[in-house]
Amino acid sequence: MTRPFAVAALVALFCLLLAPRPASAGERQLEVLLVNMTPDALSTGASKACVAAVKKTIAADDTHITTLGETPLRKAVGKPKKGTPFLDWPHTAFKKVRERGEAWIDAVVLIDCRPESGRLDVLVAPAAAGTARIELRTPTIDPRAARWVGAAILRRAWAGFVP
Amino acid sequence: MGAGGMRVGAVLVGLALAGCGGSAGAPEAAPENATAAAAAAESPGAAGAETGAAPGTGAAPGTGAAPATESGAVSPTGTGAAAETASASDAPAPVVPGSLRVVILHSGELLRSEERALKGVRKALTSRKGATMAEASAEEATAARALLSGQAGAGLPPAWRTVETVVVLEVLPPAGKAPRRTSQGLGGVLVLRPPTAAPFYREVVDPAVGAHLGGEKLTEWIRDLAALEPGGSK
Repeated sequence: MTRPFAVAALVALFCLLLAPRPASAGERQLEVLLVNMTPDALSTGASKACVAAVKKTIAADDTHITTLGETPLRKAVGKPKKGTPFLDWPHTAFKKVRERGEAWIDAVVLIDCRPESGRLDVLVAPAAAGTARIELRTPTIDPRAARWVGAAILRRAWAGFVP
Repeated sequence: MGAGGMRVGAVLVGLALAGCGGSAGAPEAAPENATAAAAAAESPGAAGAETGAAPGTGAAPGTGAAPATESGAVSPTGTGAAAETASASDAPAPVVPGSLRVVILHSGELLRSEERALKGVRKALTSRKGATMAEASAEEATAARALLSGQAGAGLPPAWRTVETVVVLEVLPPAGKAPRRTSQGLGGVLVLRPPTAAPFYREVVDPAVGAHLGGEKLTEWIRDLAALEPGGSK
């Protein structure tokens, strides 16, 4: 009589502990690692303003942003040659950069913004096992456009977030 | 052990079933896709199990496209997508300023929670004059899938040629098997500015990175498009 009771209790406890909880902001911030991948030669004032606008948009949504340079990132992911495309990098490539001391990075965001060329490329690698590739092509990449893309980055960056 | 003990046991078994049920259906996708899970949970009765779509939204096999079903919208041309028969060789028709066409791209049936979410998007967007929202026709689906996969060179479908802004929203196929399917949410996104055939904006995602389908943020984001170009209405 007591044995099924104990088994049921154990199963209940086990399932309650393992049941996934829906994501919600507030319990902890989303940890974002932001990397400006714009080549140095093309990193103009407009480009920096573009990246800053994206960063500001991301920062406004209960996030904590850490920045990293392109060189250490490329070294960490094993793609040291600068200027080579990054949009096709797999989610697994970022394993090393996610663990930063005691902190854990939820989302890695790579940005290459070249307003003079009318292009803005972004790769988002959130906690969920996948990536999002974002491309904007317009002659007018201003801070407003960058903020608009920033909102798109955010909706992917939260994927797989566990509070 | 008396009746009280049996009752406690029953409660515990219920809890066990409820707890296990929460993680069933998509044992890998659910923990990795908390956003989609949260999205599904927002709609009462939508979380966990879904059993199919409302009538009239079946997909065309092979193409992954549902029949075009204009609804609740003002056609920018006054003719509707299905009636347009212009060929690529015709003289280009002028783009209607301020017009917006939102195209829903999906393969298979939409879940009820997805239909509800899209209904909200439709309500929010098509109240504006010149805005339409429809499921992708076969031609639109082919063009959208080609553009999402990076294939250039395909012409614009007739339904897009006179529209100032075309937004394609891809709904990811649900995770799990019926009757416990869960929405994976918003997949790829395309924005085009006809008559230019190349995407103005392209967002390609892996299924695990699906985002919340619908909601104020998505409709606001689509509305904000109007402000991005010189001469925008907002």
